[in-house]
Amino acid sequence: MVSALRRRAGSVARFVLLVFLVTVATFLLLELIPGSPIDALLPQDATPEQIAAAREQYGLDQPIWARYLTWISSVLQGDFGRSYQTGLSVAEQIAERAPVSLELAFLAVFVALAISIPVGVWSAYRPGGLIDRVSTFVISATLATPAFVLGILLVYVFAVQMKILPLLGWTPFSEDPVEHIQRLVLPVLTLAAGECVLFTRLLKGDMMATLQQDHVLSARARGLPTWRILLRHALRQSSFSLVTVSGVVIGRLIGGTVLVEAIFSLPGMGTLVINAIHSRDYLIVQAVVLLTAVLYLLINTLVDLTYPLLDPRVRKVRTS
Amino acid sequence: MKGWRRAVRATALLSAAVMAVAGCGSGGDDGGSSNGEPKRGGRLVYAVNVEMATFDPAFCAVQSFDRCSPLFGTLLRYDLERKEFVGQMAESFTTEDGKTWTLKLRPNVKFTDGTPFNAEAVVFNWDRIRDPKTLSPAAAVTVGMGWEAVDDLTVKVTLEKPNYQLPWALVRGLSAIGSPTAIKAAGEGVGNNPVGAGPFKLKKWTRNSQIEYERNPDYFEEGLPYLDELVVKVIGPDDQRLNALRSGEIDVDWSLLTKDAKAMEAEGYNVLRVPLIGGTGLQFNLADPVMKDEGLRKAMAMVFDSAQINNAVYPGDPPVDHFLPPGAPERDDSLGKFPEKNLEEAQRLFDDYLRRTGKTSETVTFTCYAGIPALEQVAQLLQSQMQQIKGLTFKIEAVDGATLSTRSRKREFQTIMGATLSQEMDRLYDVFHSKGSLNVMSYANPVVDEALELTRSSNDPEEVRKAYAKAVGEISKDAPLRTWRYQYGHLYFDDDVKGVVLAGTNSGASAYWQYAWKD
Amino acid sequence: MTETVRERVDAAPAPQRPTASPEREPAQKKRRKRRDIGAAFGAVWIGLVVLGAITADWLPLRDPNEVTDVFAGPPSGEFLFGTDAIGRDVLSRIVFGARISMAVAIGATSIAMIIGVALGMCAGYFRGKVDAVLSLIVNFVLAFPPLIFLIALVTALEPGLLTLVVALALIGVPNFARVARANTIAFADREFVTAAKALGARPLRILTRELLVNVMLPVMSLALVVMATLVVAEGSLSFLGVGVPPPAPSWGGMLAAGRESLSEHPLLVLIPALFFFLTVFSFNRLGDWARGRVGRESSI
Repeated sequence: MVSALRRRAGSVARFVLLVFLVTVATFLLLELIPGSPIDALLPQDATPEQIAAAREQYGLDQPIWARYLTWISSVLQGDFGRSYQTGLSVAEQIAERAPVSLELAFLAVFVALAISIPVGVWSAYRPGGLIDRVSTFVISATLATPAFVLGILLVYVFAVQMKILPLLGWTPFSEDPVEHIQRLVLPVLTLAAGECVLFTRLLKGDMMATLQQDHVLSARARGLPTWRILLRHALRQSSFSLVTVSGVVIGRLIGGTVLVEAIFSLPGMGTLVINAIHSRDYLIVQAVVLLTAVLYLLINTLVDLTYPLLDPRVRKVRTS
Repeated sequence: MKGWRRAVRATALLSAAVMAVAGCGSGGDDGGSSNGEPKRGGRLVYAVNVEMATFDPAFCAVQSFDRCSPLFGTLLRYDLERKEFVGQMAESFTTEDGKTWTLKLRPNVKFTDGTPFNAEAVVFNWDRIRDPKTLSPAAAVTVGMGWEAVDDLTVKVTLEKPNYQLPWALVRGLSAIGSPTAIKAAGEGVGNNPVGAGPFKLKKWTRNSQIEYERNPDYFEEGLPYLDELVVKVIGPDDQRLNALRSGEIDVDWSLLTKDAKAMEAEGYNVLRVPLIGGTGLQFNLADPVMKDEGLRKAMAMVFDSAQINNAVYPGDPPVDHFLPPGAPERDDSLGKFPEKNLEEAQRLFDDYLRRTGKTSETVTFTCYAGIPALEQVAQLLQSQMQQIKGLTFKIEAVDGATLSTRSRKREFQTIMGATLSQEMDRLYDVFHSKGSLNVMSYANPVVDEALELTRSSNDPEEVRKAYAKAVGEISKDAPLRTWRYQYGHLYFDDDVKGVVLAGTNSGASAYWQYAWKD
Repeated sequence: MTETVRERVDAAPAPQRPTASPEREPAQKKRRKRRDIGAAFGAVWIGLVVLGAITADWLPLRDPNEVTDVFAGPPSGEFLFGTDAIGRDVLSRIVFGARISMAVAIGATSIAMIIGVALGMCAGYFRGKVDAVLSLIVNFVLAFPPLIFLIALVTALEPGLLTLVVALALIGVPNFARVARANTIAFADREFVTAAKALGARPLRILTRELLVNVMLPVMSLALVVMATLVVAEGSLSFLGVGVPPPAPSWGGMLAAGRESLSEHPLLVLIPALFFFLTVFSFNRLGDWARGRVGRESSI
């Protein structure tokens, strides 16, 4: 009991330490970038007075540790600052863009699961059969196609050649639900493709192991219909890894939709950060990295804490 | 309002001629005589390629004229048909000697929050622009300029030296006047809560998507604007905007590409064109220890091949042999042109350079944009052209936009991809005068300095024209900025859009939308 | 620790083969054979690409940076793969571009492998504080959004091949560290290690003599998969405009540039896409084959 509590406290401490390290690293990294936030703000014909005023205004005369402390203390009070370029509050801008990336990440995982579960289950049931072989081949092929290549190819086939889907851009759901969904199709497919591979393999492996187990064989012997065995008995038990991995994947994707957003010109957090790096809008980069790291670590820690509760087998096989 | 009227006739004449050729109805500000009676109501959608940063009037007049002017209006307007400055938000801006100017405002004009649009408001806005803390891109204009509110509707402006080109400042950087009450109240949020007295009010701004304006019912011009709503959309890729126009998603498209203009003309759309002064090109840093050598620079200018660049990257654009396009009234080829392509002579000059400096080879770095395919292609074409000179290595250094602009501003480059683009010739002063605020090339030619000073100090249009001709002749001969393409701003629209009053801007073409209506 | 979950994520193990019933065998034998063909193809393709990259200078190819006036020309006798937007020979650019892709893939992977294995083995052997510090480092690297890190790092240092290799190597270290550590732990209890300890062998000797050999097998199979990922990463970075700067030809750069004229000249995109596909496919196949050879338990 005590050791379990201590372990959880340790997890929390590690979490905080990691977040702190990530923010420090971001600061240092951005410091390395040549120039400073005011470079993108000053006009070409900036007068010396303007340059001096800018430096003072943005505290660039202060040493880096002082700037870090100023920033972290305002963050802890909930103030992420204002974007240098637009004057909008950083929190507002992220809140505006985050739903796009989140929607992409969740939908991608959902679509990937929707495809992988039937395929994985059936391949485990009939290994070496047609579905298994076709899906293995498709999996290898998709895995081999980088996301940006896949995205461009999908655009070429569906938007340029067949002209049934729009090329790029975003329409909020509130504005036009139909167009919103249309614009989601290609990006979500691109993202989901990579994850399908992972899910199918994982599920297939687990299912095949489960199908060998006694309770399944006994259910078979009792004459239960196949689908019921597959879905209710085998799948439920094999799905633990899938569920936890989905959580991890969502966490990863939230920070990882950058490429797809760039290809399809979607106003998500990924494009927000890239533009912010290019226009030296550091406060945005710092805030997004912080948020992504926190979400990722949070999801991982939660998953890690609950996993042994779900799957008794794992409790024994621990590596630490 | 006499002296400087004809000084810019060239621009207007050319565009007027082109407009006639394009066979469209530009309307003019009496509502378009040949197009029937203006209809009130409706919504016009206009698309541009980049998002605006801020609605702060100290910034947006320079940075995004097309989105700023519907909301704030402009103090003066340059009428491309009548070829003269016309009072817009202000009534008039006059001078006797070019040093002292009088800005007369209109009575009873109010901002949408009720604050009066008076001399105090103008002074407040201009003070704010001049304040270094604002970081306004229009601040450089205010150097050597003083102003005071003489009475409620009059502002007196005093300059250190006579400058008859000053009205351009009231069309550009100093044109947008916002409500002082609103600016003070908005604090840091001033860029998102604009309050102006222009023809339109801000309805909604969806960043990276569109800006929606609605009619300002208290706008001072009777009966205007005709439109109920104006929408400006941001659509990045050029071909996407064209498709949006074709599909009816937008009513008016903006473009800088000649091939788009030709396609649109062929498809029967109205095409309005504004020739712009300058362009993008190869800029030399004359203060650099290597680049200061005239022979080296001339050799490089002699292998520069704009025809090859345009054939590959900008098909349909003619090669460039002078700073100004053919037909410009200030162009006089006898006064100088860009050096002609001549590989043997270039090699000879370069070998001579090596002999003089005792080197056996030379490396010149070219700083350019990373991540924009068209510009990367130009850079690589330039490299292959330059390296035709044996012994010369032309190294490409691709950096991102912010770094490029900083390097340019700090003059930390040997050669750089640079540009000047404007509707007005007066911009040349800032770029090419040895003390010009935008002269990142450290170009100093006494003939050019004298000529450019004359363009500001003289109110005789013919004298001014000749001075410009002399200046651009020298600029072409010396080629501190060697451009590869003549730039035109274009607007395309279908026949149901009427009353488009064209405006040239520093990035292309735009319109004064209060005069537009839809059929 | 989050190890357990991540290992499941990364291992994505080859499906466990249950005790085969007679009628299942032929299908499995077929599958095994197909996998061998796939791996063989993979080996041949990678071999060709690497060979091309090394010998590019001596092959009878046009200068990849030579501009001609045949813009976006179709494949012809003179230009086997056609030309790009400013008239450069696509075939030659593909071959020279292979250099960048291979340098990044193999170079970055090697560096990541060396550092990662060293760290992982130390953590796995010494445990305790060393292990705690390592896992902190690993989690730290993983929590940082990789693409943002890469873009920022490349913008910070000058964009170039070396920067790219270093940056991608840093991202790859955690993978190797984890696998090395897990395998070190698994092997550290075995008799031959206990015997060596009893004989008084020093830790360094044990690590390098006894453990390294065993750890390297699964690490090598991971290396192949990581190479595939890095080929893609280089392409993605070029696509986002922060890859190897012009005029150096790179597959990702060609793809990004070709995208501009996708509707008019699709070949400019399809050709580099095909090369990406075949190369990544080959690395993956080889990785699968290697993993199959090494056995499942080693991927824990």
